[in-house]
Amino acid sequence: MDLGPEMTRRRFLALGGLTVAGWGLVPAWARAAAAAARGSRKTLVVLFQRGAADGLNIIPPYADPAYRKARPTIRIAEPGRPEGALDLNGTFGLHPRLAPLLPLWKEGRFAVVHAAGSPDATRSHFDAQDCMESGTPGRKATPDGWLNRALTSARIPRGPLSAVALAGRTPRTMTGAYPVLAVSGADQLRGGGAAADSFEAVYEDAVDDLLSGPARELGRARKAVAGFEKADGRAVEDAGYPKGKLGRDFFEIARLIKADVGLRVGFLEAGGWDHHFNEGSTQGQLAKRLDELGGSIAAFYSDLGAAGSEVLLLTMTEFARTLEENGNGGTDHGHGSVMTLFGPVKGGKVYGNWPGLGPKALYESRDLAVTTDYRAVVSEVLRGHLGLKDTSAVFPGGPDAPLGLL
Amino acid sequence: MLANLLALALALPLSAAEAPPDRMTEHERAIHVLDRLGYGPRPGEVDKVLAGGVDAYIARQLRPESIGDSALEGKLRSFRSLRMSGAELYAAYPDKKTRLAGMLGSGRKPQEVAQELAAAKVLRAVESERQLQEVMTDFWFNHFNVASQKNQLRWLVSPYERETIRPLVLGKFRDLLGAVAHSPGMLIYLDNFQSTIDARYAPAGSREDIAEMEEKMSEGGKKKGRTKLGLNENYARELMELHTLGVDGGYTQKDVTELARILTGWSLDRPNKKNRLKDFAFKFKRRMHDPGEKTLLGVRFPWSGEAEGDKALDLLAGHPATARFIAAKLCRRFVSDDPPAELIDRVAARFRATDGDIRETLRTLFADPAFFERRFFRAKVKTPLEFVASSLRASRAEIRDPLKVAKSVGGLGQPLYQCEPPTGWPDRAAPWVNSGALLARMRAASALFNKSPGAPVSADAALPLNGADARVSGKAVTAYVDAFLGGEIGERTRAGILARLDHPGMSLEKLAALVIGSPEFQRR
Repeated sequence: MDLGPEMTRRRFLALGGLTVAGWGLVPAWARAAAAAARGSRKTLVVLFQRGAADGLNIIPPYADPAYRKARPTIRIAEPGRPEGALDLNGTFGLHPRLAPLLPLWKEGRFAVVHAAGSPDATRSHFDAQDCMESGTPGRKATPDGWLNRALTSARIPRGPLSAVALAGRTPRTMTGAYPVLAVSGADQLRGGGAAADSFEAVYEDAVDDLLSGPARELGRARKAVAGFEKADGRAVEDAGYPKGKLGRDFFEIARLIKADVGLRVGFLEAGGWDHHFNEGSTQGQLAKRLDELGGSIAAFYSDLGAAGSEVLLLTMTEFARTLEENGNGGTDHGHGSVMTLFGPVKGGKVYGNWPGLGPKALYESRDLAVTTDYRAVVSEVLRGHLGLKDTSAVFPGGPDAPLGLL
Repeated sequence: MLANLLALALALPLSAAEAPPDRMTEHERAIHVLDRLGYGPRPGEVDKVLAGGVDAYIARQLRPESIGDSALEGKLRSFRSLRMSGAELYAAYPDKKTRLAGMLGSGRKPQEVAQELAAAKVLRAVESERQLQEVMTDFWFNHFNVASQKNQLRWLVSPYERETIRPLVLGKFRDLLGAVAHSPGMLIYLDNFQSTIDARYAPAGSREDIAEMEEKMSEGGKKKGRTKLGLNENYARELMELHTLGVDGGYTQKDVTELARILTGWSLDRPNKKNRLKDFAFKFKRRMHDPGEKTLLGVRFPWSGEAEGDKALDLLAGHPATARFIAAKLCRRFVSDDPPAELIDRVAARFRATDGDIRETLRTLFADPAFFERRFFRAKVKTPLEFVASSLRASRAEIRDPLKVAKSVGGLGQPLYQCEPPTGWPDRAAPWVNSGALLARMRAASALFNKSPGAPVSADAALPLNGADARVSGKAVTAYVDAFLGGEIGERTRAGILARLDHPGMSLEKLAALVIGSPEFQRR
């Protein structure tokens, strides 16, 4: 049965109330709707690592001689060696600066898909991000992003805080017909009072296709956060998040989830993964990024506590780095990378077909090949976690065979 | 039926009746050029343009050297960093290590260089009479973006804009491209200064030389492990993708590698000697250069050292894909998010016919009838910078703290000179339009008419009333719409504002802020 987007959470609850009077009075479709509302606390959080993160050093195939040979100065050493990788399965390890994530791995709440990426061959950041975010490889004219289409396909009620991007501008992945709030944090929505009401009233009356919608959403979002406690700087550190934008963003998403205001999809982005220079091994630019990343994710799940069992975090990046390090202790633009999943997944396992790093296995003789299309991973998450029956509108023509992640 | 139509025609104001429905009226044309060639009209400016003629305004803006700008220059005088070289900036804004070492105890922080530059950018956008020059400086900086957070860019960002971009914004594209390619700023931002001959691609005979050089460098340095020389493709790729051909310009990964080989040795004088920023000048380093033959876009490049790079820039600047890519980007900036393909073709043809003359290309664009099609009036959503600058111009606000004003642009989603990816800021509306951003703009509109003495900007809400009865009234709304929007606002927006007049607590300040925060003012 169809559950129109106009069916808000509040209406579901109201319908749920009717059940007191007896199920007989409630039409079957409404019963199903109410049930759907009750089961709809699952949240998907997507983290986009902009700049093409180096999957080969984040989850290093430490035992592979080709890996060691290609990266004389920036490789991660074998487990047991000083500053060595943290072993995951005898073949792959975890970059030692991601140590805070090891407990999640052991608890089966952290899974890796290696040699994953985009089917697009481009090595342009902009083009690759555009392709991955639109979700329609080969079709640049697609106006919206895959995550926005997923929100529509999942028939998630259009609540004011159903979909939130922690960004100053709406990210491409989230652009589209489904209303998305892009803010730096809930505190940004506070205050304003009567003045903000006046502005919203003016936009309500105005004829502006582009701007009236966001203004309406704004009014609803302001009301929704009015009851929140105010976050101050101390709270972030108290909850164990690392300093910096990424820790702050995870903290904000956790707040929204814990406040139970109907957040179903969150989007975060982290820059600084484009290490052409001084990428380094366990010291250097990548190590710094991973400190922040590992610390943030660990703090996020610890902060969420039991609620974390319904929060799935998925990371992706537009492509990856060359197998060989370049002349500057860095790496240039490559192809296959790594996706990670946290929370309600079958964790403790590295998924995907490992193509190897031999000369014939490499993509264009230089990069790790892509053996798992990111759309397959995302599709499985959308079906298993957000309840989509069919992802053909999200990724038209895309692969959707499950890997068994959920 | 006929009578109805006749009545409708008679009801239209005269100027509107003169223009066919798909063309702008003369009044709209005046607003349009002030919005597009500059950062929006100041009060009274629409009438001034109308009096002198729209075409004359365009012609004048295309010759900024003929426009005096002494008032602005006076205001910029206090920003010393704007006139300093990279070495002087490094000395005056030392890095943390130097500051801690106490060598320059009272030194200021390096990030202040970009902050002052951002403050100057806002001041120029608001105050400069050479509006088009400022718009084009913004356009080309964004096209050849560098981020001030990266390494020595903290100091070099200011000389980069002043010496590399600004003098050539209306010049020849090839000259601008060459200046950028030789600039320390770009060479560092996209890593080319350290891209060297690479054993994977260099001719067999040069392998021993590479090994020898690596050996020497390893012994000299204290780095762990062996120094490895090699290609860095970063600049070569963006040079084709973002600066010239465009991502669909028909090049391959092989072309990227070949162009990177051509550009090996395009480096800097002693880039690794710290504290010696004065040495940051372009230098071609013969030993870093790959001596083999290359092929770029099907054209053979026999060895000719530094000249190979110049030849590659010639090839790229003159390529038809470049003309089209630049023309499309100019049309997106000046016309609409999705400009008509035929217009792009005409602009691209002019670009090619004039050998990439930016001034002549713009002249053609501004003279094209499509530029004044009615559907493009206020078709563009303002970026945060455009919103802030235009609101300061419209309200004749006093800018008390330009540094804070520049920072507020960052708070609206556009931290100036800190756009990390080489793509620059988006030039379409979608990424800028969402509820969070709208709220921030409404707040900024309210803050504009803040009367507290500590406010970074202060606009007088009584000013547009010209001494008339300073009361919350429909008359005041008309005065604000005239002053801020050249009198043009949607009837429903106007009705929406009028409906708020008798709300408790309504004041002139709040009323003025409503007009600055209105949908019409978010567009240009």
